[in-house]
Amino acid sequence: MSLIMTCLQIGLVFGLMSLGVFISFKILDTPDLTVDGSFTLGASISAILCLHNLPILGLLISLFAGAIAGIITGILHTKLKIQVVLAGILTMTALYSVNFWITGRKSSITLYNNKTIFSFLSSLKQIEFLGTNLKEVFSLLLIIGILVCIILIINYFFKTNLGMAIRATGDNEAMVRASSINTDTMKIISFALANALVAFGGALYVQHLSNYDSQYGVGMMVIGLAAIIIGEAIFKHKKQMKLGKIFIIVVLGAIIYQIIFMLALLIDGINPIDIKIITALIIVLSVYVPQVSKSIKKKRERRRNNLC
Amino acid sequence: MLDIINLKVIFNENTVDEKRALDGIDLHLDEGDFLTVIGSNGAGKSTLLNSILGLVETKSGEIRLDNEIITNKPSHKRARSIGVVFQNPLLGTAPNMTIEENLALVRAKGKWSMFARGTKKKNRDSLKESLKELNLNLEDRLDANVGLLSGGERQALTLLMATLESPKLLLLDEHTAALDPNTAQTILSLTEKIVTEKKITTIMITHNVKDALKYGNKLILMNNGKIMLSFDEQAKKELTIDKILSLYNNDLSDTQIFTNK
Ligand SMILES: Nc1ncnc2c1ncn2[C@@H]1O[C@H](COP(=O)(O)OP(=O)(O)OP(=O)(O)O)[C@@H](O)[C@H]1O
Ligand SMILES: [Mg+2]
Repeated sequence: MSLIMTCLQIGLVFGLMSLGVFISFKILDTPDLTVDGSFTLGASISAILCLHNLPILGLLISLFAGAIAGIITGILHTKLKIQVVLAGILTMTALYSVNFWITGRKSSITLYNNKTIFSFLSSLKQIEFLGTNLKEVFSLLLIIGILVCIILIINYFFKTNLGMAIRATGDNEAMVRASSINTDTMKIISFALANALVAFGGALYVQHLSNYDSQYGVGMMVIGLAAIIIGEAIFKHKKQMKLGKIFIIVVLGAIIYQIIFMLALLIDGINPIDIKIITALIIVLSVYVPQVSKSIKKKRERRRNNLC
Repeated sequence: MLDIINLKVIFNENTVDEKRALDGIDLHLDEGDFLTVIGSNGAGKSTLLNSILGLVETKSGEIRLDNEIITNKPSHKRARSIGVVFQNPLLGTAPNMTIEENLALVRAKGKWSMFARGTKKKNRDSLKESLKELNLNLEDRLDANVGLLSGGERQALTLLMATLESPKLLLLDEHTAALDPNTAQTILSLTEKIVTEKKITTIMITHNVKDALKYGNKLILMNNGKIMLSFDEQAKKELTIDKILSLYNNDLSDTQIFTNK
């Protein structure tokens, strides 16, 4: 039970981060590789401010810092005309140093004795509840609450004039320019928003684990992609779907990814070191399986039609 | 209204591929003019429109719109007063957004409040009204993604979007070339209806000489980056297909444009 609880909690936090990945990869249709760096950026800021017992400030500042990281990638790409993949990698690489500056060259920080946004629930730890304890239950609810707020906000945002212009930029850039909108600005804003969410995810992750490690961000972008792909493969049946629903689908994808991941770890002989290749395999499978099942369905239909 | 003075565009200057795509263009249009442009492939017709739009760099010369020099204005700023429809129906609309959202996007053109809701209930009726003009029943499909529409439907929608906010100038680059003949005629008469109703100054490129004669009040024929012939309102009225043919048959190597499909 407590394992499922952890799965859900971490899945939701990664879901939050995946929403950021979704914004750049899917809505803007541009691969932004800043993600691994901005996740750790949020994490390090959150850790340092928790050391000073300022957890909420940690979350807020990480939002801003993530946005700035995104703006830098955006400017490198749009103004200095650096290819977007390289621009993301450059920012990510630079952030590696920045994150060590923030933590004062520490590669890990423990926060067990410090305040996090979950601390006020610690008195509930003694109360048993369905094989786990009330603290875990309320932590889960807190994360869900944060996530719901964020989904509501970005869902509204993408319906505003600005949000619509951003979606259109990812959809048909030439048309947006013909509508008298500066697409460079639109791109910079979406990178900012995407990385703000990713950094916020990192910040929340650290406070949830009460632990910081400079390696937390590694592979985050791929996890975000996995969440999107898994979510869409399982839950997206219609071609046209409301954006709000797709946000929820992405979060569900992240949770399912986390469950698959935990199950894989339970198998004897699988080591945390093998995690990355498992993730890569999950992505390959979740792209491949729906394709195969679709073609099998088509073949069956064809056969049936031939019989009639 | 529109003045183009000695405009030159050279691609790949000082290389073996150097191409004088526009070689000293002079053009004047009055308010409400509807100019049709014909000319063989590679004559520079698209380049002319693209330089008005700010999509290609000009070598020399000047473009003035309503007495404002726009030669070096960034393209997205010009777009505020210029509407455009290209040949490819995929270019003018955002496929993964709904019809309503596409229209709302251009409706907001130039006067944006960033965080206001993009699609407003109170605008829905007027959008439906405009869509009704197209006679394609699109007014019942406001919530459908544009990617689901046919090429002709998309082109009609693009035309509507380009003219929704009554631009000073409308540029049409073979905007019916990718459509079947019937749909092409529908779109063309729709074009005429919209630009006369809204009194929009228009430039239309076409390879169909019949259409070029039928529509508009002025006509130019381009070749090799130059305007070879130009007809004002009176001259255009007297013009026939045979006349153009006899006037230019000898000099024009590429007679392909004179096929009367
Ligand atoms: N971006 C570019 N780079 C180099 N050359 C170009 C470019 N765009 C156009 N050209 C050349 O400039 C000339 C004029 O092209 P343009 O597209 O204006 O012709 P057009 O009259 O529109 O022809 P069509 O009827 O085929 O559309 C052509 O020779 C073309 O190859
Ligand atoms: Mg052309």
